[in-house]
Amino acid sequence: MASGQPDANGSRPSTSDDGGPHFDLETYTSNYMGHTKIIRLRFIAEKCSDSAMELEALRMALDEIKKGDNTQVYIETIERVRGRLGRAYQHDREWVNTKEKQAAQRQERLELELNGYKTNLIKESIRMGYNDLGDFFYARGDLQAAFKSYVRTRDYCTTSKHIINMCLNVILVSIELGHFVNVTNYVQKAEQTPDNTDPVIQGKLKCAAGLAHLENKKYKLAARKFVDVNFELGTQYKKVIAPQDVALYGALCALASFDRADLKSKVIDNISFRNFLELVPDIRELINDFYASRYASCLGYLQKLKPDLLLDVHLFDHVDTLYEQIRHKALIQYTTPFISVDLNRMAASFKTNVAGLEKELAALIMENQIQARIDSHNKILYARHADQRNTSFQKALQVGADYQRDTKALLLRANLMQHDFVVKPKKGQ
Amino acid sequence: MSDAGPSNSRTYEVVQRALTQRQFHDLACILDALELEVAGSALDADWPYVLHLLGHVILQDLNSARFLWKRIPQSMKLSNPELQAAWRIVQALWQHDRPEVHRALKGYAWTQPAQGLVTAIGEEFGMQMFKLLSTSYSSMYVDEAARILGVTTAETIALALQRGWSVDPTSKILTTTKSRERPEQKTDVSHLQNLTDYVFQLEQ
Amino acid sequence: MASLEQLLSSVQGLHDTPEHLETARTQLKQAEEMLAKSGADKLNVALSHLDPSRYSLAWLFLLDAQQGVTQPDKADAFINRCTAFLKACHQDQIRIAVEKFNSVCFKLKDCVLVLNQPARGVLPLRTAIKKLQPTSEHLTPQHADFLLLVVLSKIYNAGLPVLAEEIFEVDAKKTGIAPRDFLLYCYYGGMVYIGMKRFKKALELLGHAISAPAQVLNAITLEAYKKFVVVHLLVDGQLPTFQKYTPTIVQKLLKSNSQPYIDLGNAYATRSVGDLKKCIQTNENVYKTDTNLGLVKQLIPSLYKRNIQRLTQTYLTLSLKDIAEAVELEGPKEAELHVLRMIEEGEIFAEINQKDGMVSFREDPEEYNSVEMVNQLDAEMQGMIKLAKKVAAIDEQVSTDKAYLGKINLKERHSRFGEEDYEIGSQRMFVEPTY
Repeated sequence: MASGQPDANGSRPSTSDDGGPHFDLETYTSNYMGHTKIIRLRFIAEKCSDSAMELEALRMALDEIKKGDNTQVYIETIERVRGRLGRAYQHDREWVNTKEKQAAQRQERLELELNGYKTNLIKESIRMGYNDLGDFFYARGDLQAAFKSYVRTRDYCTTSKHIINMCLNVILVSIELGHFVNVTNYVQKAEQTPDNTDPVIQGKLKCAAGLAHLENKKYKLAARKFVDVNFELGTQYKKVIAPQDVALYGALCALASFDRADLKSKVIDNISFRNFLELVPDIRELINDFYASRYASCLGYLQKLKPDLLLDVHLFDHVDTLYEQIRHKALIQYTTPFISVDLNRMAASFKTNVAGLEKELAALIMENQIQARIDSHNKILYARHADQRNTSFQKALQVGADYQRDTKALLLRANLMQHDFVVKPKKGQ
Repeated sequence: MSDAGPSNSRTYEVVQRALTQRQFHDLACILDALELEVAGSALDADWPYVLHLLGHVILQDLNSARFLWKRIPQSMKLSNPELQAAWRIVQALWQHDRPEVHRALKGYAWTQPAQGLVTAIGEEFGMQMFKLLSTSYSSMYVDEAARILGVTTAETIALALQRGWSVDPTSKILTTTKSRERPEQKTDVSHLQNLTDYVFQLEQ
Repeated sequence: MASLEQLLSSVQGLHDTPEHLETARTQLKQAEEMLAKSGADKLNVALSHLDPSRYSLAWLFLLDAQQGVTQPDKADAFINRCTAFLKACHQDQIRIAVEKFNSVCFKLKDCVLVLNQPARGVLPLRTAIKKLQPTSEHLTPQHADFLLLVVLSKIYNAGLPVLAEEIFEVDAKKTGIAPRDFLLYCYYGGMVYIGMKRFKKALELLGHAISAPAQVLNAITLEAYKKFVVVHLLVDGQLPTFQKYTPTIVQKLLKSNSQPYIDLGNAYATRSVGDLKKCIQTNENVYKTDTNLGLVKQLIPSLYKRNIQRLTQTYLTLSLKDIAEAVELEGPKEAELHVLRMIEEGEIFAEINQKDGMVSFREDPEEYNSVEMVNQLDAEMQGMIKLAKKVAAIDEQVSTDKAYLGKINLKERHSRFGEEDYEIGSQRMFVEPTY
């Protein structure tokens, strides 16, 4: 395996038993590089309730920021520290001034160069010029300008490699901007480019597409993309996503949206994806428990994971929906093979009380997701098999009545047409 | 009705005949038709509103009863206590207030011939309520049953036992038993003939 | 110019053969100006000597020539004369003077309205409908006025026999009917059915008004639509969709002009009685102004029922307390009353157990094997066959009607109407009943 392969242990934060997040930030952030590292740290600082963790995240973010050129994000982050990190993390005006001065000079130089290339009409140089400008703006955190520069390179691309490169740049910026429509568009463009055979690049594109679907709450499509990522990608998309995330996002979306057969063939028996799952043993167990109908254990894992997931910049606002859908799937799957189900036992399996379970089941029955009826008096769920004969009669009567009504209406209408009976504007209007 | 004028004599006659022959279910229809014929000829004061209203009630056509009430002149409504009593029956039925229906039926000294009609309504309503209880309840408190049936608790118990229901004397709870009325299921020759016709029709 | 006496003696000298009737009509028509100037007294005297069944045509002209009959002091006499005339008149004679006949009936309606005695017009107009109709499937201008009087006089059940005769022919040549009459027929007919709580029938009639061919949105259509929305919610629990051949302009304007009713549908769809009540309260004045508040308020008990019905699909047993909670009722006692009422009306199949405070829900006991059910199926089949024959007959007639075919060609070229308008003449014809 390539040297870029991740470590199997401890790369994902281990969870504590007290229900709160227990992040080893150092380990966690080692999975990322560049902007996403800063973004994720700032996100954790914003969402976590523990101030020690918040400060630690901010400190690490500042260390990372100072490696780069984005003075704006530096100032914002320093403000959030509010002096709580001591003298070493005071507002470093000198650094800011130097960086800004350098940046202004660099921008001027890049633009000058670009203009030169343009007058000389050297295609490849113009592309490089725009690309450099894009990199510059990206590093400065001016994402709109970076986006524009990268998109401009398009007219000067001469090889498939150029096009794919352009797409990846645009995708990177668009993810950071939260413009997922663009992500989807440019993933498609890249995929349609000839010579797109590199499994790593394909992996990157699938991850980007998966994120876009996740944002759009298209969990099934997202799952399909993530479980399809080739393990060779490894840590090579650190600027966006860690391999542990591929496992986590893919698994949760799959649990929420795949049927049993797909879960088996596309996830459990998927050798490539299994490698990803090995990186996050909790998630692997979660899937196995679900498939083996060990719901108590499965839901236990989910509960334990939740605080961490809420600190994930991509997952946090999907956690509740995904959990609800996974729970519904589990409830449906639990009841499917039985003629009758003891609600007391079922409630224990689902770590809930009978009254709560009854309500959940009632909602699913009303949505026609479970074909059963609840005997609330004896706390038993009975499978319901519609009487084919009676249903046919009912349907026949209904269809017959509808047919007669519709035909009569059409006959009347035909007559209106025949006599040119049209409601017209009043005269003089 | 006694002072019905000559213009009204035909009304009186037809209605009288329906009443004496106890054809209470025809009454509303007869009066509806007559009402249209005499419309506007100023006999409002003589019109047998009570019978007309009760005629709708016995057909359980509460919609028509309500619309009839709406077209009765306000002065009539105020001056005729029997009419008000008949209206109380309609209201109670409309609100599905079953005990109140019994009270409204029994709570007025009806004059003839309204009395005959009210008695018939009471009998039909009582039977209907008994049927309702036996289909809608597997068990129920005796006094609640009595209120819906419009009889005393003792009468209710007697009635229940007579139907083969059981009564728990300490909890005062009735347990009903279902008397399944099986609907007629015979197929006669005409149905087969029809079936042949349908097949023929579909083949066309 | 001939005098009234001369005219009448000439008319009385004619027989009731078609040729003679035509002559009579020409003479009467030429004398119209003279008749109009003759004055009511003179005309009435003349009428009193004229047999209305033998000389219906002359009667019509003389009745219609009377001026100012809708004035309160003259209305009563006019109504009585019309009532007698309509009862006695000969249909062959009035059908060759449709315009006069419609004019007289129209004045009759105005007269009863002037006197505020709408009930007096009900029977005469019902007679008028019968006299003018070539068949019971023809709509006449009197239909709408008749139904209006039924609604105003609150004798709703008197409207039912007329509404029971289904309408398939709207032929202006034979009955002088106009699009407006058709819309009003649908609207008032819908009101009658709503009053009698025959909601499905009301939907059919109101639906005809909404999908009628139109170039503009008529105010009647809008009012019909508002009622249609509420009744549709009562029957089906959801907002209606438009029939596909509803004119686009009508669809657009109906939607944009009935927001409070669309809101109602959305509130109803939440299944929360609280939301529904709130919506009704918010728009109460709108519904009141539209005279739909009473109808709208029926949605509340209907939502309770629908919610309880959903429970029957979900539970085999459920406590009265839980029912009350699930459908936002005050408590077990209220829930019991609702359930009992629904059992009584055959809307659910259930059994209440007062001892445990539980309700057991049952499946519909109908097994489709009783004689009663067989008869019902039979009636449905007969209706279907009758309809199929009718469709075939119309197909025949239409496919040979040059004017109609020409019209289709013309319109196809202008493509003013969608293809589906003519489906009835093509593929739809051959659809077998889906049994």
